Amino acid sequence: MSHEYTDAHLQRVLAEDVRIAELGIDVIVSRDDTIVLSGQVESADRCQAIEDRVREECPDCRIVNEIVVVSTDPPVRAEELS
Amino acid sequence: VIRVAAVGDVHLDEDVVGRFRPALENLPEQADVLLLAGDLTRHGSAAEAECVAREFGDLAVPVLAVLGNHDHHCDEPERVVEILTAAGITVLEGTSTVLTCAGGRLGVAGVKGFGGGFAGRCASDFGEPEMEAFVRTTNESAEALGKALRGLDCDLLVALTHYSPVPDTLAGEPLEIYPFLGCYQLGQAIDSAPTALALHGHAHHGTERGTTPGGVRVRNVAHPVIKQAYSIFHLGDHLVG
Repeated sequence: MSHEYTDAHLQRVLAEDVRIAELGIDVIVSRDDTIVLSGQVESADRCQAIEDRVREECPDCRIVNEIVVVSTDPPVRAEELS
Repeated sequence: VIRVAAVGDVHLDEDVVGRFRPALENLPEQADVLLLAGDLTRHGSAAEAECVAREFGDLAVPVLAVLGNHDHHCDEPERVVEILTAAGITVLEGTSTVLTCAGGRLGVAGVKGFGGGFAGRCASDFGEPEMEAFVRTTNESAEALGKALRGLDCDLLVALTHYSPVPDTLAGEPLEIYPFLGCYQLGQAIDSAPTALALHGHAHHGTERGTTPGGVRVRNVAHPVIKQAYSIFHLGDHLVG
């Protein structure tokens, strides 16, 4: 399967597998079978679950997980819209 | 001045409960209302809606919401609305509400909205029944928003959607998926009323700021875009208070 189809397949798995349901994860498969995952999620568990699911699909690939958990800090300032 | 707090795409489930709560504790000092711009849950299940109710219910300010595409995945949006409503969260879908704030009467009209694309690069109500149904959903949603906005009697008008009404706030997303992220008809509806601010979510890779062709400020408050628990907007400094 060409890398382009692998990208498409993985992206759909991450969106359509109800255990994951993430539509905003970028998946890049490089020529040396390294898969780079990036994007933002709401918990560390979800970050790991995505990596595990991709490993399940592509057990022989190296996975670089650059997904981060979005901050829930309060805002520092308001935007003035007069 | 009327102070509006907003966030979208919080995708609640058990693993997220409690994350927003510390930032929400001080909300009454900072805002008159909290608006939730859809994708409150991961799949739209009753259990996830209960998580939203726990996280965003029982706040000292009114909470208004629209649903997003994720909130429809389990095909039980009515159940989600029921649970949120029981927790005191008002869910808008082609409907509106007026809140009396210290700074004046704030009117909020909301719909989930839908995709379709933007002027000159959009889908048409033509051809296969599936395509016609897609575009009719877009049209009906935008018409409902326009009607709700125009029907409001208030000092300051805010439109709340999940899908984007403009392409500006999608910058950062691949161009190819714009038709799945919003539609120009929502912008047209927003411009059909004296709207002061339009808030939406859905585009996680988008950008915060945009403007409709009619000059209405648009803000993408998707959580991955604002990267904080919520954003706050101060509006209507011409108003007393």
